[in-house]
Amino acid sequence: VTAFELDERREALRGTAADLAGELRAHALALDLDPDDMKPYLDIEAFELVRRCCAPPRFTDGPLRIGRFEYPPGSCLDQVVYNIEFAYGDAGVMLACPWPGLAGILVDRLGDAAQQERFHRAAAGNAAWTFFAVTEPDRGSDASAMDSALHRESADLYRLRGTKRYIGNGARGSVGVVLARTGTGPLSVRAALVEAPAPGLHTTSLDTVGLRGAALAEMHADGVAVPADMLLGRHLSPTRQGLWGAVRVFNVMRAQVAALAVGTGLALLDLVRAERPGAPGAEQFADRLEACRGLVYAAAAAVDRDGDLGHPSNAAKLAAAPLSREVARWAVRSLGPAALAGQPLLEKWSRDVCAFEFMEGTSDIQRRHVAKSYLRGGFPSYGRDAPAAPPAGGGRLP
Amino acid sequence: MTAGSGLLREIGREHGLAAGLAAVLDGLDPAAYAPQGLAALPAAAVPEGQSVLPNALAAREGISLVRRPPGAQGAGPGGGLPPIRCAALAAVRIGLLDRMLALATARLAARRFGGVPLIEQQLVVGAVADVVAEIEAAAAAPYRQDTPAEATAARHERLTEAGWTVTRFFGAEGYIADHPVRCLYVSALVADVWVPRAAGREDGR
Repeated sequence: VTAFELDERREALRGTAADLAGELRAHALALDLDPDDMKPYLDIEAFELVRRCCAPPRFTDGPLRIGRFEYPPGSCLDQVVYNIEFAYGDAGVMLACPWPGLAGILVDRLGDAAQQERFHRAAAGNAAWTFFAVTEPDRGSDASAMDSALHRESADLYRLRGTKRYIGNGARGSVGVVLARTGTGPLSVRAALVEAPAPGLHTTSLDTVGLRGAALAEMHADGVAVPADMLLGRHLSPTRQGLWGAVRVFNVMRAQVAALAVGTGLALLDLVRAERPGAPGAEQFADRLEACRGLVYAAAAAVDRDGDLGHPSNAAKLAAAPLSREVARWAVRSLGPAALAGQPLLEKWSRDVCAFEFMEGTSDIQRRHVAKSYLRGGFPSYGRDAPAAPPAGGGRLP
Repeated sequence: MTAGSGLLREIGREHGLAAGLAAVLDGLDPAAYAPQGLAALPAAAVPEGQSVLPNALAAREGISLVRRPPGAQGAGPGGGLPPIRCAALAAVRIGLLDRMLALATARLAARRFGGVPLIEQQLVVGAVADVVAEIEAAAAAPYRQDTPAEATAARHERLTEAGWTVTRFFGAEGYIADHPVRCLYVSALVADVWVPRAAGREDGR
């Protein structure tokens, strides 16, 4: 097993993202204090890069170009490459970015041409946010157990009822996707395109411990009208209309959360290095974070190869999220008494890293998936295929 | 002199962090001990006009982070609280853990995954048991004047870790700022301010 290496094209992307990360850092504390006022941050250059890497080119100034390289939208690996750098600037500011978001990924996969046009037109520009509403108050992220329902009122109209919670940009999003049931079976979960505000749609901002740029909200739908042509996947087979697409989005999302964790961990590491050069433990954490960076890259590349492949990003998130918190605690211990009170970024990032545990499935959920996948042979490079005896010639290390 | 550890644990459990911290600091001049001139104080004890650092989470918990706290002129920068006061703070934090663990286990019993109550899931059972053992061990730690700084700091770090395990039991719900488990986030912040590091001891503090 060798470390994952980026090619020249992605190294260029990484370098550009690293150059832009400082602007995110400069706004980190102010945005954390007041995440509702986004006006001062709309022209952040990093946000434009994100939009050009994610939205269809006809809704932006075209795909991102760096030198001789072009970055067509839709690559999970491109996204983790810049997300690690941007999270090194600040993950909270990064998550405040106006972009098509996770809903955009699902619309691009499940939507027909008209739905994609409608969604991306509403999500275009530097002041439009989207929501991807899956999680429910009593169900967590167990999408298969959701209660929200789409009741068919007529041949061309559904009514959406239910409550979604912990939805990023839920209160400021102008368009998004809501997952709900049209029946009771596993194939009855459908994704509906919803525009906001809408009669019957009530949103409430949730004040969070950290990562406040994500602007979580609760969304309550009380008979929201959903035209039948706003259900995604109508042109696909029943098995590909709902949960299948959502699971593929989750596979991407987990890699992105892991990227945010690695970037924040690296930021904490360098904060300690700057304040206390030679702090014991720094080299160990630098090594672990770099290993984790490689794991996240590899997970994203795996998702790009096969969107149904979930276990690499399960493992990446399981490794990265706890590590970022471990680095935060080490940083606190390394920087002397009252460091949390005296170093505002340390205090902020110490709150932020806790969020990674709860995003896109807790560590216990990841453990279940990783173990199950391992037992099915999902991690062949981790030793189960290794020859029982050393190869001919001794196999000695130099 | 502070109250006994049993009483402090009860104050933490029944009345919360701000009341517990008031008991820990009772009769003490915070300015003389505040590291880097920074103190975590019960908000109710902070005089008007004091320089309070912005921290919304701490404020919700009734705690203020104060720069140059009121007290003896010219005192400090201090090296944190003496060992017996740190032990008192640990007792308060154990009380907070008692309360949050009870809340968490009630929640875990009421929720299901795959048809099985969360409280019966093997990973959860193990984590609950570990926290209980950690709490019991912390409560059994000697309550002495001469506990070395390294041991005191390690005790508090273990309480912070136990607190994180309990916090995780609440899932995303516990990441909302008005959830009661925020007391565990803020108690780690308070400990960071008041508990001396082992390095501080090496510096002669």
